[in-house]
Amino acid sequence: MKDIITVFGFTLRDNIRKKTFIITTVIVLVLILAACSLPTIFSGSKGDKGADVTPGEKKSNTCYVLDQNNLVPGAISALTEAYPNIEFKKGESGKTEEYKKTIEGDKSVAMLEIIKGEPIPSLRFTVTDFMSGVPTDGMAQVVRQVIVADVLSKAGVSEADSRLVLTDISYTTVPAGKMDVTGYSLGIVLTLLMFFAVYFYGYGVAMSVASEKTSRVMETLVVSAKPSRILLGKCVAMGVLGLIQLTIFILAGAAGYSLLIPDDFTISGVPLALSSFTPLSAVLILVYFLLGYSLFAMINSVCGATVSRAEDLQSAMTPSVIVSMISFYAAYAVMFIPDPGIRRIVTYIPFTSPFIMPFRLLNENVPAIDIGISIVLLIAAIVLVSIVSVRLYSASVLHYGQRLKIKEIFKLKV
Amino acid sequence: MALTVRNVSKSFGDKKAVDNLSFEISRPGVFGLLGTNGAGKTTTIRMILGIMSRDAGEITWNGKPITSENVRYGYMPEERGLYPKVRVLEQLIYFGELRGMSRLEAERAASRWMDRLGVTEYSRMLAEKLSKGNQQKIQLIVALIHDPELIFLDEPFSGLDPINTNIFRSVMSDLIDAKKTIIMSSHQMPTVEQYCSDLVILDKGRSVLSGNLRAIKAGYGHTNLSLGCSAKALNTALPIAEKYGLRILEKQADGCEFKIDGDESAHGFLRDLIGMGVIPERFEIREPSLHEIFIDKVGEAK
Repeated sequence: MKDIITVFGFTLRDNIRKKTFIITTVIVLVLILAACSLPTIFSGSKGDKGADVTPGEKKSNTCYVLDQNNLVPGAISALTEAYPNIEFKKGESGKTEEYKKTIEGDKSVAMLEIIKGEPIPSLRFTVTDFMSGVPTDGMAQVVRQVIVADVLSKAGVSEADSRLVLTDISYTTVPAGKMDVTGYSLGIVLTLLMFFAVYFYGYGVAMSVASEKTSRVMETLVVSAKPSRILLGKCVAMGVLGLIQLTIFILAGAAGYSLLIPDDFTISGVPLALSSFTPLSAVLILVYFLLGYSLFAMINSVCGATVSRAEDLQSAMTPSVIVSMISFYAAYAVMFIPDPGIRRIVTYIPFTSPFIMPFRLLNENVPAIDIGISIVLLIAAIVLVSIVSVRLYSASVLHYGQRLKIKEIFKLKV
Repeated sequence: MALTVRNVSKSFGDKKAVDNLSFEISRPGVFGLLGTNGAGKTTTIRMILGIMSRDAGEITWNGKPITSENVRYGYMPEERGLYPKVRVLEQLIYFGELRGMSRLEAERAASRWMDRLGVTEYSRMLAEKLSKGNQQKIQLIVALIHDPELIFLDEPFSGLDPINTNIFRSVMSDLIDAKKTIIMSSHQMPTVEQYCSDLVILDKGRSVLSGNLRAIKAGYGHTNLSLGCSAKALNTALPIAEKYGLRILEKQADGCEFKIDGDESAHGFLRDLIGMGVIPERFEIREPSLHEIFIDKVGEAK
């Protein structure tokens, strides 16, 4: 046990000080905080519908309304009421080209032309470009309501009935299951994160083993401690390193979420809510990360032990990469297949369960028996793979020369 | 205190790396493990250390299998290896801890050894920044930091400059004085002759000669005559040597090395030389060197 702790401490200290680790952590942190800042940045420049403007405050946007034939007389007042932060000015038809030139260089200016048409007039908006942020859909809806109100009034409908007809009906959607847009998106993101974490930190184990062979320190090392203990200490250290880095990212994400993302932020009208992220699901996701990582780290350690030069590591890792890629894509595909039988099978397979379970835990009420069987099978697979890996690792760490093929490693005796 | 290697064999595919090898080290001192490249020396050491399995045979220390629980052993491999991006002191402590020392003990022992070998100033330096000789010193500390009783040194002097060679020699003398059991593999025959009391010579995995070095040499008897003289005197000496059946082994700048059949012919040669007015600066009748014995045995086996 002391040897395992010694190898663990040394490997952790060695890797945590590496430039690769520090640079990756800083870059991802910056990306996370930048992503969290985006809603604030965009909501500040868009001028959302209904934004409050205090009386006397200078309006930041201007929209010229050209209604040459006076087709919708109440358009400007209705638009002003709906969008108080936009100044709607009656435009002159002879200055259309002048307005266009202004709009071309100024995103805060737009033009609305009301054109004669049958049975009702049509609208044409002129904006700087598609990113100008002018709420054209909403403005068109306001003008349509003015036209409909006018038609109803002419038909003898009272103003109260007319208002009733034009009022949007409110509705809510209550999912019977656990899935919501946040859980769905988060599930996919976590699956991707799981794959990259398993691949990245597993690669770290293989690289660490290969480096010890390349620097020829391996011979001194295996004399100092049993290969099984070295391997275990190394794998645990790289796993903890991964956990430390992921924890930093999650904490940064949580801080960004609570400090930078506005409370009323929505994605396509759906509020961002992390209700599916319960403490139990968080713990289980962590467990699946550790188990998934352990399984692939053990396989990768053998890949690292088969090479004599770090340059050969990529090709030596091909079998492990293929297995992890197939497992990841199988899990990813199953996310879009509602068949519970197929989902259960993928949940039970040790190679795919670490990739499918974060998604299922956030979006389904996964039966406890499924979770139990999946974890037991995963642990059994890790034990089996570890026994084989330790034997292959011990047999191949002192081999130098051409890269060993799998069947050659099995022929070697420890 | 006895290391016993009995009927040990190891094959890699069709190639026999070690073939039915047996020897015993029953007292402290330096034991020489000699052989050409690929003779099976490193494989033998790895099998003794237990980092490579053997196909047959038995290896014991005081009658028990060699494990880290039964004996403290240290190993300096031929292929030197340190963590290039790790500071020297840190990796010495790491290896010390792996050999059962506490962090404090390892740090103290590392500092003591660095001081002894004159590398204290490099303790905070990355290993990759050290010169080859200094890396070799650190590697020696790794092998000795936990005060092992059984020490394996694979080519300990290769690549060292004369000053560092002297430092290594003094360490070796200290280890001998401390009654350590050392197994040394080397191609440098003068060094082996200087330190080894017993040895085994391997060729293609088989032992071609083993035993006490002095006894082996004594068994050969006086076979060599080393003559020291000027080039002019040597011209006079060579016809006389031929008369007494002395065969030239090697002409040197300051004389000549002859093969002799016995002391009598050498004495006759000396009498005639003096009679001709040639007084040699050096006249030494001796046993063959280990180098000659090695060439003789390995060449004979080939």
